[in-house]
Amino acid sequence: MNIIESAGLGKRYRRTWALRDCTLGIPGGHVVAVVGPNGAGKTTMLQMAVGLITPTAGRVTVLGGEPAGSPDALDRIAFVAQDAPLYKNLPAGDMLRVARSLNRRWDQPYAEARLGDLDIPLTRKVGKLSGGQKAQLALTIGLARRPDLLVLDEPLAMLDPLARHDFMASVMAAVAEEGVSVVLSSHVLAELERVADYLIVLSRGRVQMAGDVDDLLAGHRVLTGPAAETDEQARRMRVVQCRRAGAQSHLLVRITTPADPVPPGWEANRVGLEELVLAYLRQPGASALPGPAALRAHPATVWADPAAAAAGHETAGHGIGMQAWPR
Amino acid sequence: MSQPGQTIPASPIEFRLDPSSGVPTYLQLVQQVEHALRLGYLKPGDQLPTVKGTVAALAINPNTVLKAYRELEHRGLAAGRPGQGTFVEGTLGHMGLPELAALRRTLLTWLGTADAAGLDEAGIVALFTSALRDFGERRGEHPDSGTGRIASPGRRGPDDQAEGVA
Amino acid sequence: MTTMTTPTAPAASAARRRPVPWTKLAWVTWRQHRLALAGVVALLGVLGLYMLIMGLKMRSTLSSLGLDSCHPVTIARCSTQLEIFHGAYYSRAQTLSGVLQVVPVLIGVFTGGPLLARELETGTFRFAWTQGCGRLRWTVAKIALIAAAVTGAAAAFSLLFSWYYQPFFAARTDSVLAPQLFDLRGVAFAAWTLAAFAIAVFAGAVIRRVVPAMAAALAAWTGLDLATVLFLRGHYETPVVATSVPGGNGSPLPWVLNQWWTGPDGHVASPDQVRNVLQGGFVPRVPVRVKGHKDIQPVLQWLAQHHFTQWFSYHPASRYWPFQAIEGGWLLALAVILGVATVWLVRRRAA
Repeated sequence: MNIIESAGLGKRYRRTWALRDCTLGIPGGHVVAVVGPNGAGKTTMLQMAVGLITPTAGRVTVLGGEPAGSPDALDRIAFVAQDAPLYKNLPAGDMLRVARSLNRRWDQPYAEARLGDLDIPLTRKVGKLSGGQKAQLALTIGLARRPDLLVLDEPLAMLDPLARHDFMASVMAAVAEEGVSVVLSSHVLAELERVADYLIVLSRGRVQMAGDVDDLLAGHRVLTGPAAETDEQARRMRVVQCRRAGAQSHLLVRITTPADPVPPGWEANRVGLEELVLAYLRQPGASALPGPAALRAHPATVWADPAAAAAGHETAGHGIGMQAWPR
Repeated sequence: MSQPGQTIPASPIEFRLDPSSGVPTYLQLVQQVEHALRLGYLKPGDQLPTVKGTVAALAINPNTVLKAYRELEHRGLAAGRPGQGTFVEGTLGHMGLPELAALRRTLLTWLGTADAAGLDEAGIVALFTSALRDFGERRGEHPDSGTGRIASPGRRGPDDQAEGVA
Repeated sequence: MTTMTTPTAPAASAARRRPVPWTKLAWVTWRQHRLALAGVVALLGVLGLYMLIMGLKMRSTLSSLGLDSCHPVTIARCSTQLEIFHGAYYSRAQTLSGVLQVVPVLIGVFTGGPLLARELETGTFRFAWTQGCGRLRWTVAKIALIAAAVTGAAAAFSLLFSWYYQPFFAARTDSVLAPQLFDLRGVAFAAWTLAAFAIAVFAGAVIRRVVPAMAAALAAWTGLDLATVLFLRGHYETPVVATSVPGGNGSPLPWVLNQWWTGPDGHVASPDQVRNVLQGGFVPRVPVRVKGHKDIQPVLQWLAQHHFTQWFSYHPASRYWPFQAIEGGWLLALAVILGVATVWLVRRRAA
């Protein structure tokens, strides 16, 4: 089941498109990282998925076909917005009660136990909590709703390193225990590298990369070799990024399988996730998106938009295609 | 995240993470288990750290831990018991002591030759690593996703990451 | 080892179909706005206490002056005592009714302004509108519950005011239709409070910032109030135009909108013309102060002799309840329209 599915999703504010042509099929049961520079459209995308913003173009469905923002979707998706907005004048215990009163599914013992473990007193006002405590409270409220999907918008932005670690540990523990799917965004990839197994990269309002992290990493490699042979080798391969010095150059290339032959005299190394994402971000014309086959693997979709299917995606063996966006 | 007064984890070992090592997280966990086995921290029948506990301590994706435990199962080193956890099963294969001694002697001879040729320690390591990789590829086995690490299904060999030849 | 699965709880899906009950939403509304509601209670409580004390004092003064035995209280033999009574209490009552003019807008703006605007301004709507109960139910509950609370409190308060002011109506001091008394009594006070609330809530939804929304609502309500008092209310029905007004012999005072003179030719006489006629031969005797009013009878007689007719346009006191109904009616309609518009705005608000 696709946890979030969009077809040509877009949002325009006055004259600028915050998000455009977003066509995704995010599978459930994963921890999905949405990364990109500030202003790339991450918040817009997430808020459309939870029903806070109405799309200007396209549509988005969640949890296997539910319209975003429908009562059923609201029930089953817990959203924590940036800066974890909560009512500052309420003590934590009353904040829990507000959440309990506004939701149909609620696990009060779980919420209280969590806050107890985190040493957050129920009588302390939300405004007096530290940044990390407030984030944990917001997370507690989200998890106590027993959601099928947890959406976190830049949850780590205001947290110190210890709070960040504890927060992510909490989220991962919840994933391990409850099996909840998670979508979280950040403009710092490094924080999400260890936890994400599905990655979406947004840049300037467009999706540049989307896919399983293992597949993305297995589908690329860095070839290091003599600079003189660079052009010859580049012609034969799908190069994402080329870095050339006097004698040596590095080519970040797309490969079909790990058994793709390495040119003689060249050395092949695996790519790190951050290196890969940065390379794509620096090449606005490049993208690594799942081909139609991978999207069709999740049958809840009916693609009404022929442009999405006919956009020239290549279908690789593990479902990643490469496409050049028009500059 | 264990504090005094809380229940001691059931596993004899705890995982740690080296984010800068370049080795994928799940492989680090596999290596730590094998290392612990080798050094005697773990014995057959011991429980491996729970997924939840590991994830809460290291803030990593549970799938990573599951992947590591699947790999250990694949290598015959661990087995999952439903509802209870993952437990150590087999042992790392042993070579006989005389065989090990013979291999060591050959290696020392080779090292002498390399040293005489002017190769320093880092050069020896680089040469050994690339030869190891070629060897694995020539044998037709898939290079695992990792720098120079070769997993051989059906073979229980000693840990073959070049750790320094001293 | 199995891969992660997403658990589905069968019992939970049944729970989902039942919408979030209103009692829970009521608690949330109360908890979030209890400070504002307490402020309303405090304000009305203080003023109400004052009216209660003064009202009791007035009534005890009435009986100690012996005005209890005057039926009606305006009869001639009681006029001196009535004069004393007025001297003691009337100016305070006028001050009070002046102060009370702003109570509806204060209540409405301070309860309604922050209702949506604070959530929109601080971003907590991103929490509230993604909870299971949904933004529409949440908004409707908040608006309806607080509207009911402030309207009810205002209605009770205006009853207390009517009781307080009763002696002056009995003494025919003021008309029940008098502008600054009309909207403190009947249904008007509650209706103006409700309208202020609705305007403030709507302003909050549009402007999305608390203080500007409150300011805008204050301005809008004040404009509406002035327009009604100065212009609109007088035209709820066609005013009666006559050469004399009822009252003066113990019957309730009318609300006189306008008075003018017509000259011998039947046309409206300007004040200059009237002055000319008077200066042409009228010799005023020393004005005698009777009952605190100058004796204007000689002036009227002189003008009448010269074929000047005085005309009045007024509304009789009997139109009090019809006017209350009209004013209450359109204010209610306005509040409902603004409420619906607010909910519609919330529905399509794109963050």
